[in-house]
Amino acid sequence: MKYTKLLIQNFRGIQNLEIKDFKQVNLLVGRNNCSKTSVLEALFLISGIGNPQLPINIHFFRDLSLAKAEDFDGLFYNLDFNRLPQIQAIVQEANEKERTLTIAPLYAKYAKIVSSSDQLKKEDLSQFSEQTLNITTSISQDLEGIRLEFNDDQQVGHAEAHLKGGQLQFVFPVNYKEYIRCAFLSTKTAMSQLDQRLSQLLVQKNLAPIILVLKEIEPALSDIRMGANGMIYVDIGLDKLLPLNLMGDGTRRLLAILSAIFDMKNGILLIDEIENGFHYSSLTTLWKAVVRAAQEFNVQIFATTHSYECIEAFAKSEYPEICLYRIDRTANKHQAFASTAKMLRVGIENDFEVR
Amino acid sequence: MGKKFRITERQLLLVEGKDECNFFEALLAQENIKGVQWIDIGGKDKFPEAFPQLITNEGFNQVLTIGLIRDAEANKAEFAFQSLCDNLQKHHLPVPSIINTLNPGPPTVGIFIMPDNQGAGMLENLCLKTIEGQNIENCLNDYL
Repeated sequence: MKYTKLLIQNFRGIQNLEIKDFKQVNLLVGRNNCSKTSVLEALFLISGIGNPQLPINIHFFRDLSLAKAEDFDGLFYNLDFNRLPQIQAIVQEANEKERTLTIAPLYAKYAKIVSSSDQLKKEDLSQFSEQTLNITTSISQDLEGIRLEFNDDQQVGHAEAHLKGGQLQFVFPVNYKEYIRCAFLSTKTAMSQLDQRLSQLLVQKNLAPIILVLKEIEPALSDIRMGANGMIYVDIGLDKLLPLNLMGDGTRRLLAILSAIFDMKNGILLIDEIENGFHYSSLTTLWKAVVRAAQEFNVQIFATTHSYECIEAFAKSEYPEICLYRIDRTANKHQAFASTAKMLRVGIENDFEVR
Repeated sequence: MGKKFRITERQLLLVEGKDECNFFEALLAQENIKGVQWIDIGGKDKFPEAFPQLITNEGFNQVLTIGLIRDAEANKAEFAFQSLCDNLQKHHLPVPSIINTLNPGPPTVGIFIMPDNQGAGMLENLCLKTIEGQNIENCLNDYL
């Protein structure tokens, strides 16, 4: 499966943004605060429409605090709970399917009858503060969390995330099973599931192509093994195996990305700031590896970058199923400008600014 | 990594080749025309990719006027004109109805085919024509 189109409304800083004609490997660029990461987050949410934990996950990816239900306001455009975020996507499988997710604030409604005016004396009234002096039946609205309403190819459902007294509670949808596999490698979470994914690769004997790619960054690397203590070791021709954590950032990051691609077989992988941890000279190897793995395991990739070298390396991958999207934010209006592989190569040859 | 091309002016002149860039840079300076940015967008081979890439550039939505200049080469000017019109249309930009005129816009677009908006040839033919019958023509012929 792959996404072909995404429409985002009232989500984070995006009032309205449509992106069309996604390819297998997609790179998002643009100035700071142009909402690149928000696009990845929108894809993450729409890929797990029935999972009320995902809005909390993206909250933590950004190191935002979540102590009370009001802290969910970051999901809403201009922090306004009246602007309901809506994400729509077209999924291409054997045929096209549309899925929609709407997030709404969830209020605990209760009626609070103070009194009726004829039963109150004036002196009683004076005991009330201005705030409580509501002598009619009043309905207070206390924010309790968020409600996710979704629609996937004619299946509808809803899920809820409640945050009361610092405790999170979830209501999962009944009879809805997600068929899209999707993972988000944020700058914070990129390495978090590396051990688990690597052990899976080892068991399934799928490490060989990954080792081959890693050799382009570290030519001495010949094998990867898992120690009894759960630690990962690499063989770089020394007398002893070397703990992976002693290898450079680039090797570990590439391993994390490749193992995530394998894990998301036939699904989606979102990578924020893909160039992080890589020397510019390794970026061509990175993209070559990512594009090759994406094809082999049929994974659609969405990544972001700020780096021109990263874009140049991306353009060099010589795979027609790549596209660069420049996200433009002018006077709070968002637009996505697509550059196909050919356009991008010519733009770079001509020294155009493509970021 | 050199300085990248960014759209900074509201009037763009798209030409094919470095020599054309140099020529129009000198011409605009000579005529004291300000506020026009020129760029080598490539000839008929590069243009189909370079042009859409240019219009994704930040700042393009601020552009008010676009001039496209291309050589007729071995064909009549109409061929090059039509090819540029097709590209403009493909990218949902206004298309001038006649060569050497401006459509109302926005953006205002004009297409000019060297050397004379009619016959075959190139910018160099126009340059030579401007010195016909002058002493400098002999110097130039000697040099060439």
